[in-house]
Amino acid sequence: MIHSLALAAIVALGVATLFVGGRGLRIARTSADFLVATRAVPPLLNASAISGEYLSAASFLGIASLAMSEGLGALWYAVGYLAGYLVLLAVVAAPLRRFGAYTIPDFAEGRLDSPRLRTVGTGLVVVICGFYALPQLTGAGITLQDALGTPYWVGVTVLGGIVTAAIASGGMKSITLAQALRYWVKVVALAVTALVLLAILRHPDLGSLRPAGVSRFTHPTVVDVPGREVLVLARPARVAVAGVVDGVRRHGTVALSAGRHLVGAGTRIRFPPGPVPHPAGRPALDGGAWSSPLVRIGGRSIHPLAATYGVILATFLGAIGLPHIFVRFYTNRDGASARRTTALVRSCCRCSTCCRGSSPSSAGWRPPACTSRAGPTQWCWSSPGLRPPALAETCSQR
Amino acid sequence: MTGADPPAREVVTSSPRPLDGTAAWPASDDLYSRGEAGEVLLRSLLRAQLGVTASVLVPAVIVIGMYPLLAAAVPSVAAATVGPVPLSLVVLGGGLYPPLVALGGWYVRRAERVEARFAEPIADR
Repeated sequence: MIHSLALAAIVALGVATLFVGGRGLRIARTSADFLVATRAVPPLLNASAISGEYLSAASFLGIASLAMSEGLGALWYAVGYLAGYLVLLAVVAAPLRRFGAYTIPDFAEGRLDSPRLRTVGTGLVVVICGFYALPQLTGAGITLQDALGTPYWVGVTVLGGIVTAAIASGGMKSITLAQALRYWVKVVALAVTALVLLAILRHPDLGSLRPAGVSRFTHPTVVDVPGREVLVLARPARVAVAGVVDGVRRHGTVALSAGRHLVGAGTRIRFPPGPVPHPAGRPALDGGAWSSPLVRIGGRSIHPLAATYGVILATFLGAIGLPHIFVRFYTNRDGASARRTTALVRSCCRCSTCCRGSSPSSAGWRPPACTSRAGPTQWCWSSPGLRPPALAETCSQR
Repeated sequence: MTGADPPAREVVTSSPRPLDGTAAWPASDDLYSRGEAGEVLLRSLLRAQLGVTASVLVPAVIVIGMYPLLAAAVPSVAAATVGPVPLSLVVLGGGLYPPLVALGGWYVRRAERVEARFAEPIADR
């Protein structure tokens, strides 16, 4: 059931992407059509497209999962990035569009009169976009893996192929339409989640948004561990295991001592009520530490003020260094509409971030809140480097 | 796509660039050719634009920078709650956005006014 629904959703979005890509293909005739969508993208459409980029997997899932595992300080990433658009608006948007170049290297060369700068700029754009595409493709592979159970390479090839086909056929026009479409899909998805959460906020099973101690399982809970992971138990527990624990394949009840245990990939463990074990290297946070507004790096509070200002500064200035955002300003009709685009982006981002801020994983939907008396709840940890925490840490009831 | 024939498809190329090594896009030749008056005009525009930019970025930095400082200096601010919801979620998940968006809207209006004022004397000539 879940698989067929997920498949239907993915196919629908893929077909929609190809459809708008084909629409762009009919319109795109000249270089200006292909590279900058004839410079005739109205501000609202362009703002939706830029917000679609902003609301990528990184912020859609990444910040939510960071907020869940490392505390609410992770929301600074969203705030800083949004503030970065203010810098973009005040410093970059209108002048960039007025200049009349097609690309950032064109602009750098023309403005500072240096062909060498053009080469350097081209190299930087390729490097940044490469590093940007890499996690996107990884995400595509993992998402299909998670939603449909297909091998990793299927997601990378199929989703990568669809997007490449859409862009290569219709250029900027296609991708602007596709991104705008995806923005609205994502906003609706977030808004529904947020509304559901608000509707059930008073439900007693949700527990407190700010628990006094560390997270606890309130009743026996099944946990799937997708990748090799070292779990730390606060106290001894008798658990039911199917899989590999401490290097031994087991099937049945095992008494685990307090301390570290190496759990193999694909292991399923049923924990009794008690403190939730946490991955080694990522300390368990109590409610006070979790809700602190200062950034924790890897869940640890090391020079929290410096870490917070570091994140703010990096995202504040980082937003103006994103070539795929930059290039969108060339698609606006003129400087004024480029500016209006940026101002609109900020409203779009704002409404999506508000939804995200109140969506389950960032609003303190921590392990005890996941549980329900109706039946065993499944939970899984990520293995660092194998898959993004957001996907693995989503609590799902099956 | 009704009626008239669409323009013929063309091979997408990079933008045309001059062969003599000069910049492809003359930035403000037009203004400089007006002599001293153009220079004065341009300088006043730049100063006005810088003023508008600073008047938006400085408040933004203050608005954003104050909260972490307060939270680090006063532990009760970091631990505060609004009803059942942590204050940090209220501020970072919503409270900081309205002032930032308002600053953006205000910037757009002011920047357009500065440009209109600049365009007037030029259009006269």
